[in-house]
Amino acid sequence: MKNYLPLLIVAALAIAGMQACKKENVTAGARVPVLPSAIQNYSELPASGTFNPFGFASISNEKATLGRVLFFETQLSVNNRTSCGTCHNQRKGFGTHNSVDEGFNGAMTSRNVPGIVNPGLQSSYFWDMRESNLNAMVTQPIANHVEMGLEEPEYMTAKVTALPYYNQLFQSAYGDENVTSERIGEALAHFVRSMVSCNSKFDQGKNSGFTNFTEEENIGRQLFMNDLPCAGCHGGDNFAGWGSQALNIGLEENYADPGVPGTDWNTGQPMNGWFKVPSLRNVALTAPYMHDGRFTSLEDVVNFYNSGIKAHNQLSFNLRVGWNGGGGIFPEDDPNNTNPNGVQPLRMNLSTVEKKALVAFLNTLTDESIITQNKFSDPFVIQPQ
Amino acid sequence: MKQLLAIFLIMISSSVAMQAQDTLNFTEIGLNATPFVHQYLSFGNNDTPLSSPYILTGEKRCGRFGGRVGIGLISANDLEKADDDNTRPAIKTNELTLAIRAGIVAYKNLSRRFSLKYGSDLFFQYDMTRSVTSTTGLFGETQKVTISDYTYETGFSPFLFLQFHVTPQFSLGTEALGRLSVLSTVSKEENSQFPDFNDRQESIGTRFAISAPTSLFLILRF
Repeated sequence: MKNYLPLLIVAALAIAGMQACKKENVTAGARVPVLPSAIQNYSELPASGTFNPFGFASISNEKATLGRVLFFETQLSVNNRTSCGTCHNQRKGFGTHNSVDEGFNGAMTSRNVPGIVNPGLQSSYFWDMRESNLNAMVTQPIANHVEMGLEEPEYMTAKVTALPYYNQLFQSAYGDENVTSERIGEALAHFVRSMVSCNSKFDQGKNSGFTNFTEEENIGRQLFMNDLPCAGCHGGDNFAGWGSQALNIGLEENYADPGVPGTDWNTGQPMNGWFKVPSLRNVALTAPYMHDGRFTSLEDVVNFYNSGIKAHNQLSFNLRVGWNGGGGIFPEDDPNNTNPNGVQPLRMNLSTVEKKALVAFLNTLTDESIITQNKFSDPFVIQPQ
Repeated sequence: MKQLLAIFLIMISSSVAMQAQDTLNFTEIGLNATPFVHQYLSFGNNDTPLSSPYILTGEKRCGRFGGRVGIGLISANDLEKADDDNTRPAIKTNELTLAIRAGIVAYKNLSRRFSLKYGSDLFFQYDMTRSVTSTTGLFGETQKVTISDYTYETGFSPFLFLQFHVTPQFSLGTEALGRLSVLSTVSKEENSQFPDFNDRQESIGTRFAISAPTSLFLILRF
C-alpha cells in the first residue's frame, strides 16, 4: 500500500495536468474600416418596387454609413470579439444558421437570431416584442450580458471615442465628433432600416400578374394567399401582418419560454407561448426557424403547420378547427370540435405536391440584393503590420 | 451512460467468477477513470462534465464504518482561433477545478459481487474559469480583456456508492452525490485599455444539487 500510494498520486496529478498550457500568440491584428470615397446611397429603392419598405422614416446616407461601421464593430463588445454582424450575417439574410448563437464569452443566447428585413415596416422588435423604438432596440444587444456585454452606455461611448476612424464618420453624420449612445443607436437604426427587401421574384411578379412564376410557385401562392390561413398572419407587404403582432402557433402544449408577457384576453390566463410573427421575406436564407430555431428547413415548417400544431388553449384562432372551417365565431362552439379542452388544432391535410408548392412559393420571397450589395457588407479589414 | 453500462457489462461477462471479500478491515484506493473512458472510447459527446470531480480517492474500513477522502484537480485549456474572415479574434480559455472531501462510510453487501456504500462527506471545491482576448489597437497597442469567475464552495455531500467486485483486489464503482453547500462567487472583467470600466461582482448563495452516477472509478483493495 505504502509503495503504491505515491505512485498513484503522481499518476493522478500528471493526468490532471495532461492538457498542459501551450504558449501561442493569439493577439489579433487591428481592424480598420475601409469605405469607398464616395458615400453610398442607402435611400434608393429599386424601380420595380410596389411599396415603401422604409415605412414613415427617411434614411440619411451619412448616418447609415456610420451605422454600417458600428454594425460590424467588434469593439462594441466587452472582449472585442462580437459585433452585431457576428450573429446577423449578411450572407444568411442578416440572420444565422444556428438554433441559438454564442455570445461574446461563449454563453448561448436564449432564442434564435432573427434575420433583418424591412425593419421600418415593423412596430415592435425582438421575439417577445419588448421594444417598439428601433433606435433603442439596436443598442440592447450591445448591452445584453450574454450577447455583447457592454452594460454601461458610458463604456460603449468610451470605446467608440477611442477609435479615431469614427471622428470623420460622426462629423459627417452629425456635424461634430461627439459620440453619444443616442447617436450610436440612431446611426445603427438608419443602417438597419435601409436593409430592405422589395425586389424579390414575388415583387416582380406583382407587376406582371405572376407570369414569371412557375406552375408550382403559382400553386403555392394560391395556397398561401387564399386556400390556407397563412396570409391571415403573414399578410401585408412584409409578410408579417401589418406592423407587428404576436401569436401562439401551438409549438407546445406548455411553453417553457413564455414569450410575450401579458394576459390572454380569451382565457384570462398569463400569456404562454406568444411570439412575434416574423416576416417571411428572405425566409429561405434564414434557417433554422421559430423562436428557438427548432426547425431546420422550410419543409419541416410546412410539415408542422400541416399536421403538427398542438392544442394549446391560447392557440391562434387562425390555426383552430372551426375558425377557418366556418364553425362559428368561437371554435368551442363548433359541433365538429371533439377536443375536450375546447381547442382543436387545424389539420391541413396537404398532399406532397402542395407542400412542395408552398416551399417553392416561399422561395420566391428571396431578394438576393440584400445579401450581395457591398453597402451592407463588413467594411473591416485587418490593418497591415 | 449507455456506453458506460456497456463497458460494465463486458467486464462482468469476461471476469472470473470470484466472490467479493467480506473483510471488515481494508484499505482502498480509487481512480476516477471517466475522463479516460471519454477520451479513448468516444461514443459522441466528449464535453460531458465530470459528475464527480474527485480523481483520486482513498478509503479505510474499520469494522462497520469507515472513513474516506478524495481529491481532484482538473485543468483544461482551450484556444479558439480567429474565424476565417478574421471577424472574431481568438479567445483563450482556462478552467480549473480543485476538489477535496473527507467523510464517513457505512457498508451493505447487496450480492456476491455488488456492494453499496453510503454516508456523507464534508467537501470544499474551488472552480475558476478565465477567458483572455487580446487585440491590437490602431497604433500597435495591445488591448487585453480578461473575464474570470471564481467560485468557492463548501458543504455536505451525502453519497451512494455502488461497487462491483471483479476480483477480491479489483473493483469498479460509481457514485451518486448530493450537495448541500454554501458558495461564494467572484466575477471580474478587466480591460487593459479601459481600467475605469473594470468590473468586479461578488455573490454568496446556497446550492442543493444531485449528480447522477455517471462516473466510473477503478478501485484497488489492499
